Amino acid sequence: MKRLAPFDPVLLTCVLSMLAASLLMVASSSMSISAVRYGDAWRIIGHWAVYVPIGLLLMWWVSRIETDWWRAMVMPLLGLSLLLMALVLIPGIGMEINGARRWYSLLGLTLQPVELLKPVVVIYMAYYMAAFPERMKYFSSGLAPMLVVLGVAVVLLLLQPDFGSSALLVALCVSMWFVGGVPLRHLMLMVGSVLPVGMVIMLAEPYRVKRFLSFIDPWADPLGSGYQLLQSMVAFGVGGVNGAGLGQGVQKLFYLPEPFTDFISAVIGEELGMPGMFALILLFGVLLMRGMQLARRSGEVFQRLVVVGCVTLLGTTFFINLGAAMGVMPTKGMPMPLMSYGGSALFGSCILLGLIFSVQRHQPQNMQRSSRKELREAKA
Amino acid sequence: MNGAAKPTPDVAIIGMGRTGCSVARFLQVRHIPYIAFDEKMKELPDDLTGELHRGMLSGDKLKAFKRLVVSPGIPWHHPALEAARVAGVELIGDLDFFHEYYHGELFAVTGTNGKSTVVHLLGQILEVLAGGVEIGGNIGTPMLDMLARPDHSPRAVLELSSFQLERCQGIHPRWAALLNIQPDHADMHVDMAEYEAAKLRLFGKQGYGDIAVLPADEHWNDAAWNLGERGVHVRRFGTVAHSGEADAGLMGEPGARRIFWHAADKVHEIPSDQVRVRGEHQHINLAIVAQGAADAGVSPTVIVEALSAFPGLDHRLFYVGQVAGKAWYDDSKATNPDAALAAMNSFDKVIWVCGGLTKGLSPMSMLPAVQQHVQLALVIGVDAKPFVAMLEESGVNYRVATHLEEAVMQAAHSSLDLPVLLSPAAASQDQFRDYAERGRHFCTAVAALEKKP
Repeated sequence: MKRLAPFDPVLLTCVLSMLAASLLMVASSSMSISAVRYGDAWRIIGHWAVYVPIGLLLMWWVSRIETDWWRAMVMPLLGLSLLLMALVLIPGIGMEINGARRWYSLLGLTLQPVELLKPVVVIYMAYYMAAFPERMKYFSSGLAPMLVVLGVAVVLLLLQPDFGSSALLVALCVSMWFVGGVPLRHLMLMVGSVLPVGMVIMLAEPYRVKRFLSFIDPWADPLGSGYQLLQSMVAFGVGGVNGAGLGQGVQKLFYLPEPFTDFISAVIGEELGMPGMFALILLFGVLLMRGMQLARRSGEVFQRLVVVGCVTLLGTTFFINLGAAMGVMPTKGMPMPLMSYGGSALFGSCILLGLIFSVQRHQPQNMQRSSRKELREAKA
Repeated sequence: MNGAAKPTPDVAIIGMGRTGCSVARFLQVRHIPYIAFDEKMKELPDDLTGELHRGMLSGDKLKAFKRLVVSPGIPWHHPALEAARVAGVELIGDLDFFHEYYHGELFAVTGTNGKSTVVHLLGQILEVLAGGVEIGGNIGTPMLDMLARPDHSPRAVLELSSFQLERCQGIHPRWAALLNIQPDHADMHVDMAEYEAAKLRLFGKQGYGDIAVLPADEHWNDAAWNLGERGVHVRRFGTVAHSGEADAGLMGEPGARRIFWHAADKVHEIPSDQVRVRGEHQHINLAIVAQGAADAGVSPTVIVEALSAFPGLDHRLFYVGQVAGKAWYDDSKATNPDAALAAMNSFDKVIWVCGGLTKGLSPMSMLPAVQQHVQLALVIGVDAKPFVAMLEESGVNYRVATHLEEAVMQAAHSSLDLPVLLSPAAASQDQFRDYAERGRHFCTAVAALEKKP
């Protein structure tokens, strides 16, 4: 068996630092709430301390799988994940929470099949564009089949309903198609036709409109739809430039709903101030940049596209979360990758990172250079 | 009625009590045909035009329907219902109908004791919000009658019993509170676990953004955890040392307790001696109401005012007055030992009027509290034996009275200068129609004392 290259040190350092910071911040933001709600200050952080190693194990395991295996298994995987997405809609199989069926309840864990669907869609799109580059010129044999797959996935998501994940999936595919060489006019045509549909879907549900509007003017309903955002902004404000100090924040106590999940960046902003936020964005920025570098360095188109897709997904989720917490984007229930508490989302992120590492670790040794200098020397 | 044979209706209503009738009325307004079943009723009230089947329920007859709406009084595991269930008939309660047709915000309250107080006062406070509020459920307006008016409010406060919850497929309250669980109605359910499971159905459909209110004691930690994992905002209430240990409840030392709750911007509190109702259990109920009102967006000033002015509900530790040199309290609603215990703990020393139909609940659990608070006990009712046994063991002075009026006379003539508390720790059906009648008799007897000093 071929010896695998070691994990890319830069990317691995970013991932481990994010997760370490996450353990710290989830602990800081959850302990008082956990004590009041569940009678045990350690309950949330205790669970998180178990989830994180499991996530890392999952990442390690995915990274060992050869990229050829993904390519060969793409259709069964797509079938499986779409089947799971369909089954979750059936009462009695999928768990209904708040009028939405998105979850499976398994061994005390709440798992969201969409977290499996996301990497599989990345793999499928990469496979298709890499396998048939000559078809990309034509709409019917190029973009159309991929559109069908995306369409099925989006319809299943909207049936749950999960508008946020559908939008994320559409954004992911559009960027992958752009990178993969789908003609711009096809993309324009598609975006031009999907956008109005998306608007209609959004306007059809009053709560989405409410959520959307609350980000523009949270003061209109400070105790209702604007509440979370205002509390989040208060947290950033209280933190100021220097931050209140680790563990010293007060917004997390009762004011900010779910400070350890979607709004964890507000706690970071309050407790660690501007340096903390800069460090967070820098860390994630390096992670994304490094991912893109690794994409460029990988030999095959399929591998490149897989990595680009994974990086796009992680990056988009990160910035949507951050934007929502700071009030520059609509409040969307989307956790911050590698930082927010939540099993499903962590495992999803770990699969994406595992895919990136899988591509990187299966590169031939001479492609494993880490510095530009080495790369130049290798070329010379 | 003559001419072509009518098709069999899809819906049958089982049990034509108050709830059953409200279901029938509701269906009638919507022109949905139904057949009513009742084992005792002779004929339907005048305003109902449906067909009534009398006599024993039989599975064979019920199998023909698609949906059975089962009233709270009918045992959920009645053999005829079981037979229908096995045959694939859908069994629902009136709550499901309500949930299907009502599209406002729901505030739901369940628990063994204190529901009515919480629902009543919370409803009163939410009235200040635009559009007002509907109050109903287990007591007051049957839920479906609330829907009869076309202009119903955008929010409703519901008092739900475990029977209603048990026979309900899905309810999704935005704000739901479970006050406490004690073995009272447990005899109608198979066991405590089932009773508890029924109560927890209240939260079954809740998710991200909803609020669940649970007691702070350890027993509910796991239930709270499961809700929290689904994104439900869990609030816990109880008696704590300071406000950081719970979301709402009582804090501070005994004697200087403060009622507190969390609103958007900070902790709010009022001293518990500033409110008119007595007893720590009642004060905790007020804290829960305050929390619910705050969660609905009512301003703290309105909440404080409403809490201080609330006089309590009839027969729930209601202050009757100062008569014959003694203060008299009517807590006829206390139909189980736990409720009576809560009332007793609101006093230092009392003359206690107790007894009635024990429904198999032994008053022995009250022994320590009785020794601590009771100077003289007056036992009424047919089930005097368990109370006498308990009082014998406690060493507290007691007398057995044949009826309530005699007990009131004895209390009035006692030389003890103490408040008199009617908190029977037993059901009333041996001598009265219900606890309200028992309470009214008590108040009348007390008032009569004044005329003959």
